[in-house]
Amino acid sequence: MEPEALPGGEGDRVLEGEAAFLEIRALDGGVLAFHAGSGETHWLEGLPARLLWAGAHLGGAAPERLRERLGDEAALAEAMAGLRAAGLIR
Amino acid sequence: MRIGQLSRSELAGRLARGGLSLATGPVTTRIRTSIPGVAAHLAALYADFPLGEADGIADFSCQLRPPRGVRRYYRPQVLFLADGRSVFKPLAYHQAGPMLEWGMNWCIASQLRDRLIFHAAALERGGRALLLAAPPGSGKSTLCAALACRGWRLLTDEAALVELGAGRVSVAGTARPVSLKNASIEAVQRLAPEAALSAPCRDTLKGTVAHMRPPPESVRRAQEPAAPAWLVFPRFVPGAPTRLTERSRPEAFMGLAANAFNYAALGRRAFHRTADLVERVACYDFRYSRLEEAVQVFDELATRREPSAVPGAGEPGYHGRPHGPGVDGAAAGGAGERAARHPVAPGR
Repeated sequence: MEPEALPGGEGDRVLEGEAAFLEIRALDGGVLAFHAGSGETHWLEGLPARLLWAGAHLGGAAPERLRERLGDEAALAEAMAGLRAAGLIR
Repeated sequence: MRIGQLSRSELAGRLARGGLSLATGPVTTRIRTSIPGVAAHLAALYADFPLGEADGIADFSCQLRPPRGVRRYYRPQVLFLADGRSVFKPLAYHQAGPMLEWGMNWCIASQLRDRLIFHAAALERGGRALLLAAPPGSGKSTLCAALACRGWRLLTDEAALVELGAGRVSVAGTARPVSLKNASIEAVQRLAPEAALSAPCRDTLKGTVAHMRPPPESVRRAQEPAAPAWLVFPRFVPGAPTRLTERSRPEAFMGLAANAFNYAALGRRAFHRTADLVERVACYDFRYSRLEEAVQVFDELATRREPSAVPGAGEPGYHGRPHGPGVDGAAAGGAGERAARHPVAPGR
């Protein structure tokens, strides 16, 4: 899933991609993500949490917007890598 | 009418004929058996509970009976059947009372789908509910029994029930007897000599077990849920000093979800309801070895007026906006650093 694919039409708690359907909730600086496909719940912190949250709230979440939120290209790549490592995106 | 208003022969007769309908808070169970030990168990521990409607619909229909064949006579055993199906291996005949308790627990944990069910004890004080979530052997029931003997209202020692509907989050329980095992039996007797305990049942799979009769006030108010205020993960550690430490809400969420019986079956509804609950409570880890000190800690907790909920939780339009350096601030760590911790997988 590339950042362009992050839609905003499903509501601000939903992030949908080609392989993932996630619902997220934020609690005290962490983000909890429910992966409907596997039924697993993940607890994310740091950049991956910020990416999920920003993507779900920015409506469309174009890469430049995410980059603004996350700081720079390296941060975005790092966050995506974190989400991949967690098995939340491909 | 309450169970205690039936004579022993009336109780045995109802159990043997069509079955006895037992109302335990939001759950009604029909019990059918001719085993005298079950009637004695109910008479000793359930005297304050109301009878359900004789011809009403029960949530669960249970039967305890000896297996067919030689084991009726040689080293007799007992079977537990839920809706006519045997769900456990047979146990020794003298364990019929505890088997009824384990069977009713099984029914709630595996059959109830209209609520989120946590493997947790729950008690109420001043309108606020305390959840003690922990796996077996953590000292959860011992602590629960102690608090119930010291003025906390018992909701449950085993299965905390949370409504799935949107809106106010509340915790309910069946107020059934508290299950104690091995050293915890004596510990509770020492702390509360007035507590009514069943005769210890030895050589069970869990060792020696006894059940504590719930306080009458808890039974009388068993239909009354309470708003959650504290979520605590207790652990009995021999010789350890009493210690209550804060746990972060995300970590508490993961711990609570791991202790849910039907999280996987309910999927996203369970995810959001668990988050709804955790947003509203103060979360702690608790280690203890001395029961008296443990009770004091919770009595003190109950007198505090702490701002327990996430600000805005439960208000219309609240979306749990993240705060803190890990999400909004600039001090976030690398992507690999604590990117995803301990996923809760469907398993229950």
